[in-house]
Amino acid sequence: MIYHLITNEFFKIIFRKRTYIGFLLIFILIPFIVWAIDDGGTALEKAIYGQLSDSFFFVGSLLNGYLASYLILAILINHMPFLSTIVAADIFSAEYSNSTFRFYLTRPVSRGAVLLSKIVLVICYTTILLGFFFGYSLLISTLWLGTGELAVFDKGILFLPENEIIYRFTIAYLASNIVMITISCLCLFISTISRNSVTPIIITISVVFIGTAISLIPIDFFDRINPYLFTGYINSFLVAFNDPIPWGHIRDLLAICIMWSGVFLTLSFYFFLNRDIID
Amino acid sequence: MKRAEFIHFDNVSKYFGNNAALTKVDFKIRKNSIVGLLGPNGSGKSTLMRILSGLIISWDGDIYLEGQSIRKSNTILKRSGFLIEDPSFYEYLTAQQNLIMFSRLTNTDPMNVNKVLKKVDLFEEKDKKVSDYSYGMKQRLGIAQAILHNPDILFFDEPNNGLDPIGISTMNKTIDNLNKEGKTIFISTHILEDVKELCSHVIVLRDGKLVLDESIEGLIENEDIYIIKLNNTKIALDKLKSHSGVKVVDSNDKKITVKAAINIYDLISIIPSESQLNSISKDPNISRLFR
Repeated sequence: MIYHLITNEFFKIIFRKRTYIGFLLIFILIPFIVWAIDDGGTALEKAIYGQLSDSFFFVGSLLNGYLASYLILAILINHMPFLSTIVAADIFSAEYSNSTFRFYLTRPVSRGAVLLSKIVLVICYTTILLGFFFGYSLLISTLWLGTGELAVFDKGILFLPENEIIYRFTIAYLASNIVMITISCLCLFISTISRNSVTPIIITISVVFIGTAISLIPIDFFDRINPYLFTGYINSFLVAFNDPIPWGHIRDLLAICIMWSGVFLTLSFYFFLNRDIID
Repeated sequence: MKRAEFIHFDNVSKYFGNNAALTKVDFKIRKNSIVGLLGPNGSGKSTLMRILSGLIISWDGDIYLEGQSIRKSNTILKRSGFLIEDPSFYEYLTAQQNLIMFSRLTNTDPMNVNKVLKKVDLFEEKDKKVSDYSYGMKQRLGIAQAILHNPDILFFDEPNNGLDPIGISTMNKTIDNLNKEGKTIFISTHILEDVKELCSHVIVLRDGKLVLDESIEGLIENEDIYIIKLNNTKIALDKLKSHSGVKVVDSNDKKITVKAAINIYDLISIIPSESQLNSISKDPNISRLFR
């Protein structure tokens, strides 16, 4: 039965226009940014490496597709929760507001199984969207600007060899995906208790915004709680480009995100399984 | 004659906060019958339907299907089809896609989809998006989704709501045909004519309470309904309630509505003079139960 429920959930989102908004935006935006990076490449290089050029002599251009991808990810990753929560936001609330549960839940299927199928869908959507974001960024950037070593800042300037870069981006993708799934789980939970699709997005983005602000405010109390908030790990994909990769930090990210996702999904089960559908 | 217990609503109650939507509703449904659930808006009809369909989780009392509590298994969902209030489909999908999706939930052969679409006369429109359907077409599609897995019990909540006279006639014909196929049908409605035309039995709810549980014949022919207007209803109420041939259907401080198996003269004789009888009138129309 769970197979049929998951099939139905995919069936529902495939035919919805809003499913493609995130993909469309990424599709349009990334070539535009790559073009802008290419156009302003010299100035960008000067800005990044300006002070270092007094001490070092750089041969060739540091700007390539990998650096462009790295910059795109660093710029856009904070905005990805807007896109990754589009589906999660109305996965329940739209069923409440359109009263479609009146037919769907009057079949001999358990609510737990329906919830599980929606969780699977949200995780898949988030993973695919973020995969598209990373993959498409790399594809467009490298096609446009070529490949080469990746120069990043890690306790100074670090050149990552070309043969390691895809591996590093994969680690970065997996780390980001875990955080985005946690954010989607929060949004899904809000959706189980909301009657419209806007509220879950607003609440989720507010939580991300406040959490991010906390991570940036240099106050002891916030510094103490920040490691326990999933929002503190949104930019953690950058550690995939450190040398060596701080696996301890990634383990913390994994543990905290799994814990928060577990909390949100447990609450989702509790509210959905006990909710009277009277809409 | 005691009706066979196919479905037994056993003191079903539901509260939303402090508001009682249903209060100890207790009645039985006979197999292969068409039962009309009547009542004005807010009387608890939809709440009852939602309890049956599992949409409302927390409620008191019990409901038995052939002696088995519906709380203990989902047999009622396997054996039933529901059309609850307005037909609400995934509007961005076609009628056929909607039904294919529902068929997966009951492991129904997808071939049934076209069969039921033909049955409700929507086969030609199967590839249209539901958003392009008229209200009447959506209602028929609602019937189609309810009968898709060939259930033997059907619960229709306001099936004629929003339909034009031709639509109502078509819908009633469909319901009648389904009953002839052996299905037990439970219709919630506030249209009295539907009940008279289709149903063999009527249940009336008001303010969440059962006020009438009667066969149509019994309601229309065998017993009389009287509206008694008086200045002091309290004294009369006690007397009327204690009489075996009288059933108090409704009362307020100005009038008492009774169902009486005795003639009007005997009825008048029961009413004490202190209660100051103003008038007594026969009311064969069950519409009084809505007032």
